Amino acid sequence: MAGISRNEFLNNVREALNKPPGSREPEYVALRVRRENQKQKVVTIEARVEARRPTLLNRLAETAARWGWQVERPTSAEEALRYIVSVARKTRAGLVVRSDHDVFSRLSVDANLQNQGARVTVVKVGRTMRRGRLREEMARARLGITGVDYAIAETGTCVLLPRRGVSRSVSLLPPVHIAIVEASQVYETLDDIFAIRRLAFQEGRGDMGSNMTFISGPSRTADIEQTIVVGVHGPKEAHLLLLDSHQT
Amino acid sequence: MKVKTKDFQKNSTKALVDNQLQIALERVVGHFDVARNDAVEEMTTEVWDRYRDRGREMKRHTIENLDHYLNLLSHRVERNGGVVHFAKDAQQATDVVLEIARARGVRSVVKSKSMLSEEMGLNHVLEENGIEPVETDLGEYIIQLADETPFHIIAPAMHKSKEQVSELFFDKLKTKRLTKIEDMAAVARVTLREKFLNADMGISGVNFAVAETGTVVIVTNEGNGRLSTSLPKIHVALMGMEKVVPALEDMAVMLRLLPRAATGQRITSYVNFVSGPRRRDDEDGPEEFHLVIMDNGRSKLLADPDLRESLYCIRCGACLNICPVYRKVGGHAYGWVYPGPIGAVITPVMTGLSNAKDLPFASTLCGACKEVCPVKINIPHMLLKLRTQLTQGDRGQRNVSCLARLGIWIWSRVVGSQLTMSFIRGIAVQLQRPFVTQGRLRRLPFPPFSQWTKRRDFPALAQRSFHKLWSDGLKHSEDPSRDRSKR
Repeated sequence: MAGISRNEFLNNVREALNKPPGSREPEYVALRVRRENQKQKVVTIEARVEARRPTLLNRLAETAARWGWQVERPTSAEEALRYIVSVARKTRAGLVVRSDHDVFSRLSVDANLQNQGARVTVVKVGRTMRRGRLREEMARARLGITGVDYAIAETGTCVLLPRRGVSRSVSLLPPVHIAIVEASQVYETLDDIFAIRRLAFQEGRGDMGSNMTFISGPSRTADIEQTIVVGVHGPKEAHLLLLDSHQT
Repeated sequence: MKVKTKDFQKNSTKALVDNQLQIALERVVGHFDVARNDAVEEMTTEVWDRYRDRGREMKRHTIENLDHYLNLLSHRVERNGGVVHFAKDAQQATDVVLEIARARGVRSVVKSKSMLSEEMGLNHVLEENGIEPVETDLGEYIIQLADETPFHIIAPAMHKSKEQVSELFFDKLKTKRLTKIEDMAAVARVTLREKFLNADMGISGVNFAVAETGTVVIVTNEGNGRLSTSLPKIHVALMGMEKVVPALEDMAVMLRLLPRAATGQRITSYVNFVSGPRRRDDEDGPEEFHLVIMDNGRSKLLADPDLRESLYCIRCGACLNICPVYRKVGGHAYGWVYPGPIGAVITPVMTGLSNAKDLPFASTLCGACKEVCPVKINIPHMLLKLRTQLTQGDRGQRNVSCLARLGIWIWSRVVGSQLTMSFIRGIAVQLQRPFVTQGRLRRLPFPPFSQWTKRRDFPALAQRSFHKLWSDGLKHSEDPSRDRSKR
């Protein structure tokens, strides 16, 4: 094996720090909070967020629009579906890929798109769909639709936790992405989300899943002459469909 | 990467007369600095300052206990199913990557931006071993096509005009002659998408590594970071050992500091948190995850209490954008991976002080870098320390010539006594007469003074010395400026 052992490496570091081996473990406040207390912290966050929900929804819509999301706030489920169909039509998406988030059981996206002649593939490995085939579909599709796991009002961010039924690529490979955000998923700050995920880590016996993705608007670059161009690798259009709780 | 720090003077002279480069520098770094300022003002300087203090304290604590947090990080990454490799230097890190690639028959690699891989000169090594490396950050891709090195930590191709990029694409990618930047980005999207879908391995850098959860954090705007860590079967992440942070909740502070300081963004388009390879039920993601932790001279910075805080750096580039020297000489003059004020501190130590003698002196010590640093690194202080080290030289040997020491001895005699000082001054005022134009000495005829005036003016000695003004009544006026306006 190339490289050196952990011990040798860490000994070099200790030597540079002029620290005798076997020194005491450092104290760090954020690491000392045990599961019960972390849980209490999250309960407090949930209560604050619940009380401020209407303000937070407005703030999310505002910041998200500022960072390049096309924000839509439908007043009914029908209106939400109409919006999705209109985006699909505008992008001439014959093939649509979507994740298997819970929100799709409350919003009949597939039927509405199929009525318009689009084919919808749910990205979930199963008996009929193998990984390679799904990737081809995602690479070909012009529209990807996902739910989210959280949204952050402070930064206009959608947070996705890839897992079974939630592929990393649905929100990444197609040139257009619609993220459906439900009111109950909206939090206030970055700190809120990290506290919640830390609790998930503690409750998941030290496993919080392989990946977490923050998405804040479309893919963009300014690498040539400082000119902003969207869609260089990821989606060039990012739609944030914000549902109020009574709609689904 | 080849170290060319010796050529600092030659290369900065070249940069100064390159008009196109000067235009690019003014446009880009000026833009970054304005954007950073706006982002800070939006959250107010007081709040920004509090986050800076918190970020700094977190980094201080981590670096002081680096052994502990690297140990924790490596165990947690392993628990997530990842493999951790430790590399003492760039050569070892390169060997690790090659070994992984060879064992799995890797033929093509997609890379998202990594300054570490620049330290390693990884692309050339991969090519020599029959593996195709493709940079996927648009700026890095341009640099790779042009066979150059990054000009700026976060905007590697900022020195290229769109005409130059167009020419490069025409030449290397056989495109039409493109005029619009959107079209160039579109070409990159199509070309690189193909590479992403077919690559055997993805290599990424690491912006932060969370010890507690064994998570590497990758901050990008283009989405190439997500693609290179999601599509290929193997993901290799390269990190400098100073990138570790203790807790997941520390990321709330760091994610407020880094994008604002770097580009003035409140957050980047994407932040990707990778905790090991894909789990059994996941729909996609790499089957293998490797983390390479590299020292490569960082322990030398760690061992020096005066320079240790250079390891707090989060590589935002704000000190480059504000630096009056970087803004004129640009990134290539510094001769290695890290340019600008922070580069002038870490490059000499990491690559060898004797070859990089000019770098610690390539600063006016104006302190702007310290003012903008999101973790308040005292760069001017460290530059002074390096100057001292360079001047004193190694034990038993002096780096200062006899002539210079004689000069300094005479100088100290002259300024040490009021009488000698005013006597010499009187003579000098007379002597300078033929050379003064509008209060400045523009050209002096003999060395060492002619050396000075070759590149800059010297202010002429005043007709009446301050000492004289003072005794003539300046000390009796309460406010000299008001006194002057009355006259």
